[in-house]
Amino acid sequence: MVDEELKHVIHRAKRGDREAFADLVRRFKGHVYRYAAGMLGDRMDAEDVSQEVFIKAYYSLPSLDNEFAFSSWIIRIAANLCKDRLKKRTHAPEHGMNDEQKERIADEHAADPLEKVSIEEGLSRLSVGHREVLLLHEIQGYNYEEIAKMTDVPLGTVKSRLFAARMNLRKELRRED
Amino acid sequence: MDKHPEEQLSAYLDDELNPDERRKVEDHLATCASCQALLEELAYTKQDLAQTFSRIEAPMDFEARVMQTIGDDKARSYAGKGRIVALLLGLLTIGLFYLMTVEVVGKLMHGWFKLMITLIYAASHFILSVPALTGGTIVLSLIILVTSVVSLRRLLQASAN
Repeated sequence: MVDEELKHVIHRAKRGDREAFADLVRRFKGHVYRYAAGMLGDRMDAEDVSQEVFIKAYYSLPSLDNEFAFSSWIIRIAANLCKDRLKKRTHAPEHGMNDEQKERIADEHAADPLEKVSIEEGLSRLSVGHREVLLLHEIQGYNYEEIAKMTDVPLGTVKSRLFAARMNLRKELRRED
Repeated sequence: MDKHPEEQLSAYLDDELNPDERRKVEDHLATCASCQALLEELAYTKQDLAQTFSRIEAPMDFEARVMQTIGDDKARSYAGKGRIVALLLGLLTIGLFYLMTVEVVGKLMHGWFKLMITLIYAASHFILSVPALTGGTIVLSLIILVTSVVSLRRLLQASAN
């Protein structure tokens, strides 16, 4: 999955080559940003957290043992930062901004707003665990075994969690109709 | 009819079943319309989700901003180190200045002290060498002594009353 060229770029970035790191940001920004957007349901927060992810990655890159595991490693960083952000949000007293921001998201994608809002809205109503497993599988394309490793849960749990997440999403989307 | 293998349907869709499990699901699907409908619906949602998110792109200037932040952090850490060096140099300068000043001030004080001792010594010598001045000084000293004793007695009496 990881080609030799990418491995070489990661290797250079690990040794402090800024150009190589910029290349990594270019290659993985969508990967991280989509995950954050799905987890947080808000583009501004997603952008903020994605930046934090790469900055954190830059400083902890020397501790990455296996260059082939870069993509799951960076998603792990993103997962932790997204969960921190969600925790902060539950402690925050006001949620008024969120609705406003959601409206703004809909405005930004005026091409097919109904469909988009409904699936993103549906996703945002799921539990964090369900959202995470759906994003990792459907959007990021990891298989069950990889997800089990990334989230530290047994393979069987990934399977049942993904099924439950799909059924809940289906329920949320049906409510929209 | 068998119990609906719904959870298996989800894994079937993801091609995560072993050949035996897969065959069982396919056998069930061949005879169960509701599971066929559910599978279709799950497949549609899966595709929809993937498509929706594939259109989400990170902002254009994203990597520039990341690299700028990293650059700023580095500059700040260098600036931080620079500040520490400046502080150390400052402390060193103040320390040296203090040491030098202390030496000069010490020497000055020592000189003053010596001068005063010499002056007192010279004055006493001068007074003793002139007889009239010696007598005058003795008389003046006695007057000061008596006046002091009287003032002190008065003061003590006043405070006793």
